[in-house]
Amino acid sequence: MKKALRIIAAAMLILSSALISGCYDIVELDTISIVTGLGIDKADENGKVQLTVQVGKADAVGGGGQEGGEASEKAYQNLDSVDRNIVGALDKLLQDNSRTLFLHHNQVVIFGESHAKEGISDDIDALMRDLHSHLNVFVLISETNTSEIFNVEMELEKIPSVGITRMMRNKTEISEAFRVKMLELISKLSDDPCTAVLPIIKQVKEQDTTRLSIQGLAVIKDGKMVGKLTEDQAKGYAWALGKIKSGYLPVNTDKGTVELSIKPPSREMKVSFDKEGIPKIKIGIKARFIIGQIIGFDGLQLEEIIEMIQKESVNAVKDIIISCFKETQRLNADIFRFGCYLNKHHNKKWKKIKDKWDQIYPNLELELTVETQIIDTGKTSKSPKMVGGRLA
Amino acid sequence: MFRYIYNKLKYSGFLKTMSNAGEQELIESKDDIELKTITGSLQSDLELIREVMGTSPDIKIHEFRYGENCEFKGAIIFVDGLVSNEIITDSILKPLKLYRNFNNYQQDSIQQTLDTVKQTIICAGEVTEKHTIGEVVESCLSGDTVFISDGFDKALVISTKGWEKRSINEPQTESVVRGPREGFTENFRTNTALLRRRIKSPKLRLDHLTIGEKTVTNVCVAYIEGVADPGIVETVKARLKSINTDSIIDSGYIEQFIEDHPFSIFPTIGYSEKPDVIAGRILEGRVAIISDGSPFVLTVPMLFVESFQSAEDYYIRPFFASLIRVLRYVAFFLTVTAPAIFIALTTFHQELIPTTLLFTISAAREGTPFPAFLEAFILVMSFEILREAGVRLPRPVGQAISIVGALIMGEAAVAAGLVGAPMVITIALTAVAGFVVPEQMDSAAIMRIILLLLASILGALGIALGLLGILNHIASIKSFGIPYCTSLTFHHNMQDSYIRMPLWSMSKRPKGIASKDITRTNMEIPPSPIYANIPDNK
Amino acid sequence: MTIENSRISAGQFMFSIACFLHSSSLLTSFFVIITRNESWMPFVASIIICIPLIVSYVLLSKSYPGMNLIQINEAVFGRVAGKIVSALYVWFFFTLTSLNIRDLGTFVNKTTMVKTPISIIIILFLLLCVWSSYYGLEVVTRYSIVFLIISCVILFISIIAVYDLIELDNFLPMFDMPLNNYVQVSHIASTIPFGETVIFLMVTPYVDNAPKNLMRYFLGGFLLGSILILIVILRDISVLGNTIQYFSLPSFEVFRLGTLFQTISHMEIMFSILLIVLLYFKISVLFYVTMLAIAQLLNIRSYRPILLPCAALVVVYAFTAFKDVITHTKTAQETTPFFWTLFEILLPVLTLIVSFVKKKAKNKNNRKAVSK
Repeated sequence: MKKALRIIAAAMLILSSALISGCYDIVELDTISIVTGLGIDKADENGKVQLTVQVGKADAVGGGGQEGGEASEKAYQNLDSVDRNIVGALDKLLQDNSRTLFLHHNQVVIFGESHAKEGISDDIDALMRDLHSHLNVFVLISETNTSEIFNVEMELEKIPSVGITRMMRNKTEISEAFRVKMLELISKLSDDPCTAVLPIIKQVKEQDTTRLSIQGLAVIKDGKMVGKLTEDQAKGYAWALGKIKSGYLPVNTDKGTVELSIKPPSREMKVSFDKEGIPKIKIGIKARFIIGQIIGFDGLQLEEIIEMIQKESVNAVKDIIISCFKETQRLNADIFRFGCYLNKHHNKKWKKIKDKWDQIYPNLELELTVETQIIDTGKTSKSPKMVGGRLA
Repeated sequence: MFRYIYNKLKYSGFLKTMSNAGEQELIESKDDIELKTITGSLQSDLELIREVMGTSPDIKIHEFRYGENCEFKGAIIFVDGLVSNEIITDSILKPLKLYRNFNNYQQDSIQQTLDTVKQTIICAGEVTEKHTIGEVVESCLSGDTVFISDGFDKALVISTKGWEKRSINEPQTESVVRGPREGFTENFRTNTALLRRRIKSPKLRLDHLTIGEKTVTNVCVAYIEGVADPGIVETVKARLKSINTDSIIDSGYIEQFIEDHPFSIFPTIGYSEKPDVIAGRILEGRVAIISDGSPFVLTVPMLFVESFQSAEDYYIRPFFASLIRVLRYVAFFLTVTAPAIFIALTTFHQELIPTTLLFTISAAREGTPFPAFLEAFILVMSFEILREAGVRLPRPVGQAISIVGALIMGEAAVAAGLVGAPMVITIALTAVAGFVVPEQMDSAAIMRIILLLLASILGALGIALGLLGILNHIASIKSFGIPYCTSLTFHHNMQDSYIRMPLWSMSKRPKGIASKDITRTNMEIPPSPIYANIPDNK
Repeated sequence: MTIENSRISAGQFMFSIACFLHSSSLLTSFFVIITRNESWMPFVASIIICIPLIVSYVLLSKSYPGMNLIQINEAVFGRVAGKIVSALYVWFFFTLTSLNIRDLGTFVNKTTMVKTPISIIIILFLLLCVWSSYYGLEVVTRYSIVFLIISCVILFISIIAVYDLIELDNFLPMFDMPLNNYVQVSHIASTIPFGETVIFLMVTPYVDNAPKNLMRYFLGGFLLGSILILIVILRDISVLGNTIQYFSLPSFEVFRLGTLFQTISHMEIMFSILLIVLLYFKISVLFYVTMLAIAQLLNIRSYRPILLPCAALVVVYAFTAFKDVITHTKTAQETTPFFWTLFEILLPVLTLIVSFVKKKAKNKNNRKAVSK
C-alpha cells in the first residue's frame, strides 16, 4: 500500500514538474523573422548610429509547391532604427515589430564608411558578446549608406544580403586575403599592431540599373578606417601575403601584352636586424603562371615570347607589391602584419622596438625577390598568328 | 478517492500483500472426487467418470465384452475429435476382441491379467497405468484412450492422439530471403520434432511440465546439457513451476508470468517462430520454452542486441550482414528520435538548421493552426491507427485502403494547410524505420512518444535527458541474471553486436550465457582453402 | 559488511577514469584565459607532475586492499581523527558535485535554453543521477566506454571540420609570459581536472582483479583522459589563436566555426551533446561517490534512503556556493586550487606516510614479539 502510493506520488510530482517547467524557450517559427544582413551607419543626429536590418520573408523565399505569381513580391524587408548604439537600436526594432528578430542566421555585417572612420571596436564588442551572433559572418565596409546597399536588387538572388555573401565567396576565389570573417577581424584587432583590412562594397550606377560591386580594401588602424586601397593595390596586398589564388596579371612589353593566369605562389619571409634592432624584411616569392592570352607579338615564336615575358613578369609583380607597400607606409598602417610576425618569431627583439613601431614602419626597408615560372600554356601551345594565319 | 484507487490496485494484483489471498479465491483446488481411485467395479467407475467429465456428446464411452466367452466387461473412454479412430480400432479393440487365450490365465491374479493385456494384447506405442480418476480424466482430455475393465483396479491409458493440425508453413512474421522457411505450429509434438531435427545431439534435453489449472498446457524446457548454464535452467524451471494460474493460452502468457521486470517497456524474454533461430540460440547456451498451442517459442535470457540480430544475418556473408546490422541500429535510433529531433530543432534551436532549409520549413509552417508538438503527436497517432487497421483489415480490401489512407490523407492534409510537408515526411520516415526492428516495435512506440513530449517541453535538453534515462534503464535491468545491455558496451561479447564478425572467427560462445562447453569452432582463422590433390588422368 | 555489492571490471574502471577526465576538457576556460596560446605547455607539465600523485593514490589503495577511502582513513588515523578526516572528504565530494552541476546548468542556460530557470535543469539532471545511483556502481559506470568512443568520434569530426582554420602560427610566441602564469596554470590544471580522480579511491575496492593490476589501469585511464584534453586544447589554440582569451567556452566557439562539406555548419549541437553526456557521467560518478562516502561515514547499511535528501541538498548548495558566474571563475583561478590541494595532495599523501610509519612500527613490534 505504501509502496504503491509512493510510486503514484512520485509519478505525479515528476509529471507536474515536467509540465510546469517547460516551454520557456519555445520559439514558434511563425513568430520570428530571420535576419540575413546587418548594416551599421552613422546617423544624421550626432553621436547616434543607424542600424539597418535585412529580413528574409519565408514564404516568398522558401517553400516548394506553391507556384504562381508572387514573383514580383519582394522576398526581403529592410528595417532600420536610430539609437545610441547597436544594442539600443536592436532593442528598438524589437519593440516596433510584430515578430522577434532572429540573429543566428546573419551572414553579413556592413559598416558604413563614415561610421568606420570613427571606430568600429565598440560595435564589435557588442557583436562579440551577443549570444546569437556568429563569428563566421563576413564583414564589409560600404562607401555609401548601408540602407542603400541593402536596397539594391539582384537578378539572380532573392535577398540582397545572401547575394552579397555569394559575391564574397567569389572574391575568395581570387584571394583569401579579401575575405574577412568576424573572428579574423577580432584576432587582428586584439593583436599588436592593431591593423586589419576590410573589403569595400559600393554601388555602381549604370544607365538605369544599379548593381553592387566589391572592389578594393579599406585599411583599419586601431579600430578606425584610415584609408583605402584600390583594386590593384589590393592585389599587391594579396601577392605580398602569398595568398592569391587566381586572376590575371597583364604583362606589357613593347611588342605585345600577355595575360598570365595566376596560380598560387609560394612565399618566404626572412627578417634581419641591424645594429639598432631595426628590422629589414626580405620577402621571396616564387610565382607560377599559365599563359592566358597572347596579344600582339606578331611573328614571334612561343619560346621567344616566353623569354621576353619572363623578365617583365618579375617587374610586374614587384611593381604591384611595392605600390601597395608604399601606400601603406603613407598611411602608416602595418597591414601586412610584420609586427605580428616579429612578435611570434623574434620575440625578444620585437619587445625592444614595439613602442617605436609607428615611427619605424614608414621607413621600413623591404627587399623583394620574385621568381616567376611559366609552367603551362593552356590547352594549346601555339596561337593562330604563329602558324601563319592572317589575323590582324 | 484514495480508497477507490487503492481498491482498484488491490484487485488488479498490483499489491503483493493482498495477492496471495486473492489468487487463492480465483483458482479452484482439485476436487475430492478426482482423488478417488479406480475401484474394480466397472459401473461405479463409469459413473464417477461421467460425473467428472459431464455429458457432452463428444465424450464417448464404449462398453464392450471381450474374452473367449465374452465374460469380461470393459469400456474405453475417449474424446471424439482428439483421437485417431484407426488406432482405436486397430490397436485396441481388434486385438482385445480377437484374443482367444484368456483361459490360460484364469489362475493369474488381476495384476498379471492386466499386465498381459497391457504388454501382449494392446498394440499401441505407449501404454501406461493410472490410478486416480483425476489422472484418467486428464489423459482422456489430452487425446488418449482410457481402458477400464471389471476387476482391474487400474486404468490403462493408451496414446491415440490424432487430430487436425496445421501444416508446416513459412511463418508470416519472420520471412527471410535466404534461409529455411519452416515455422513452428501450434502442435506441441510437431514443435519438439522440428527442434530435434535441427539438433540431433543426445545432449538436447527436453524437460516437460504442465502449467495452468484448466488448460493443462504442456510446456517443455529445451536446453543442451553442458552448454547451458545450469543455474539459468534451474531458475527457469522454478519460475515455471511457481506459475499458479488457470489458463496458459499462448506462450505470451508464460512470458508475462516469468519475466524479470514486468514494469519495464523492454522485453527481457525473446521469442521466435522459426526452428533454426531457436536452434541457434540453444546452441549459444540459451534455454528455450516450447508451449503447446503456440507457434512462438520463448528463449531465455534475452539481451538487447538480440532484437537487432535476424536469422538471415548468419546465412549471408559478413560484410553485407554488418552493413545491414549497422543500418538497423541507425533505423532504430531514427524511429525513436526523429519526431523529437524535428520538434526540438524547429521550435527551440532554429540556429542549427541551415538557412535555406529554415526558410523552407518556415514557409511550410506559416498558416498551420497547430503548434508543432500537437501536429507531430496527431501524425504519430494517426500512423499507429493506420498500422493497426492494416493488420486487422481483410486481405482483399487491405492494400487499397492503406494506400488510399496514407497517400491521400497525407496529401489532402498538406494541401489543406493542416500540417506541414516536412512534418509529414519526418513522421513517414519514422514509421517506416520502425519496421526494421520488429521485436522492439512496442518499446520504440512508447519511447517515441516520451521523447516527443520531452522535446516539446525542453528541446534538445529534453531529448538528452530522455535518452540518458532510457540508457540508464537498459543498464539496470537484467534478464535471468545477465545484464540486458551486454554486448552494447564494449566489454565483452562484441563479436556479434554492432557488426557481425565472420562465423569462423566466433570461436567461443557468448560469455555469461554458456557455461562449460565454451568452444564452438576449432578451425584455423581465417580458414585457408584446401585443395585435394587429384592425380592426373593418364 | 559491504555497502556496495556489485563489481566492475578493470577495463570499465579505466575507461570511467578516462571519461571523467575528458569531461573536464569542456571547461578548460579556467586556465586558458591566463596563459593564452601557450596553455598546452603548463598542461603537459601538470600531467607529468600528477603521475607521481596517481602512483601515491594507488599505493594507498594497495596497502589497504578491499577498503575504500573512508575505511582507510579510519584504519590509519584511528576512529575519531579518521572520522573527522572523512567528514572533510565528504564535504569535498559534496562541493565538487554541486560546483559541477552548477557549471552544467550555467552552460545549458547560456547557450541553448536562455529563459529556462537553471533550477529546473539542475533538478531534472539530478533526478537522473539519483536514478542511476540507485542501482549501484555498475550501472553508473556502465556506459563509460560508449561515451568515450562517442566523444572521440566527435573530436575527430571537429578536427576535420576546422581543418582549414588551423594555423600552426597560433602557437607562437612561446615563453612570452612571466613564470608566475605558467606555475599558476600548472597548479590549476593539476588540481581541478586531475586531482579530482582522488574520488576513485572510493571505487577501487570494487574493481575486479584489484589490487594486482590497479596501477596499470589507474595510470592508463589517467593518461588516456589527459591526452584527450591535451588534444582539445591544442585544437582550440590552433584555431582561435589569440582570441581564445575572450571566450568563456573556447571549444564551443570552435564548433561554431567549423564547416563540413561546405554545407553542414553551426555544429554546436555536437558540442552540446558532448557536454551534456560527459558532464552527466561525471556528475553521476561524483554523486554516487558522495552517497557512498556518507553512508560509509555514518555506518549505515545502504545508501539508498539518503539519495533523495542529499540530491535536494546538492541543488541548494549549487545555488548558494557562489553569488554569480564572475566570482565563480575568479575563485576557480585563484582560491580553489589551493583548497583542492589540501584534499587531493596533502591529505592522501599524509595518509600514505602515516600508514607507512604505522606498518613499520607494527613490523618492529612483531619482530620484537617473535624474537622474544
